[in-house]
Amino acid sequence: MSLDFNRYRTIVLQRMRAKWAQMSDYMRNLPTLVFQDPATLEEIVLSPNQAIQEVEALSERGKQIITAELIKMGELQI
Amino acid sequence: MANVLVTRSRNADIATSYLAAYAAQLVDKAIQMGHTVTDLYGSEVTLENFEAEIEAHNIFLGYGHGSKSIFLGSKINEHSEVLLKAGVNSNLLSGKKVNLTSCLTGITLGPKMVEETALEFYGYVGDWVFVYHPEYYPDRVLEDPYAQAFFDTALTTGCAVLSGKSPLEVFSETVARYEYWWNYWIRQEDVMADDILTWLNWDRKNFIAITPDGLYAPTVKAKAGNLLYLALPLSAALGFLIISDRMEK
Repeated sequence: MSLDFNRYRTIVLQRMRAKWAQMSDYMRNLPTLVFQDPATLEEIVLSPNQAIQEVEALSERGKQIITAELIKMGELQI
Repeated sequence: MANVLVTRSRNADIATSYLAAYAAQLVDKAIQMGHTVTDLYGSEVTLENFEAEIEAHNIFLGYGHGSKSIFLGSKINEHSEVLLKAGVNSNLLSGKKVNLTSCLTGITLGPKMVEETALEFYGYVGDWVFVYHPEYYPDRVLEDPYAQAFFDTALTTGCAVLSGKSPLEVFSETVARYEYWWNYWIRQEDVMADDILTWLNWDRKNFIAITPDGLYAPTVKAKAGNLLYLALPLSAALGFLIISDRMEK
């Protein structure tokens, strides 16, 4: 799958920041998302703050978050 | 009635804590349904115990970490036990129905099991991601309002298998449960609702049922209630999975 992540990063970040703006500082730092590290199979837990950082950095985890957001938005046909 | 083997890995992490707690409910349900259940939990979830038990069972329900080609048991002495590895001992599932609630095992391990004559496989071709509320972990995980949608749906698959449903029925009931929770969370004002919707949709998209006759996988959906099923023969399915495999890289 080849996605223009740079383009979609902007769209997804706008949505994430809009949600983030509605959150309390407590919720922004609350680790709520549970992933798995593909290399070690250890779990990774992200807060909304960290999720935004991953997307901003366009890390592999950030790309996964972008993809999930796009699927939910119905923007992605894969 | 069937002989059912359940593995509930339990490490000092969030995912296996939740999986083990919720899967315990399915163990109770299976017993109520009249099945004979062997429940391996925590330190009991070792390769040695798994291989000693699996032959005598017709249904295997596994809850724990996984990757494309392996499914893990519990951590013993800091090392996770590998219960199943594609092409190594995946043939142990020959003639059995299998449901793995874990990340990624639908990509390689599941197809390999079915190739080696497992009857049915249900699992995920992507990371199985969930949202939880830290205030409910670790003591009240069954009351966690964020996690409930994810684990309730995961148990729906196992419950349908235990009920003797056909692969299409198992698949449809699981997807319908994702739809149910989607419709629930789309109406909630909670600040985490959008994240929950995102990852419910992600998990639903990655759910897959594989049988010797073909596979069932959801197409991408834009809105609840607009779901199509993709049913492919296994030869084409393997092509699909290879494409998925490339997507992971």
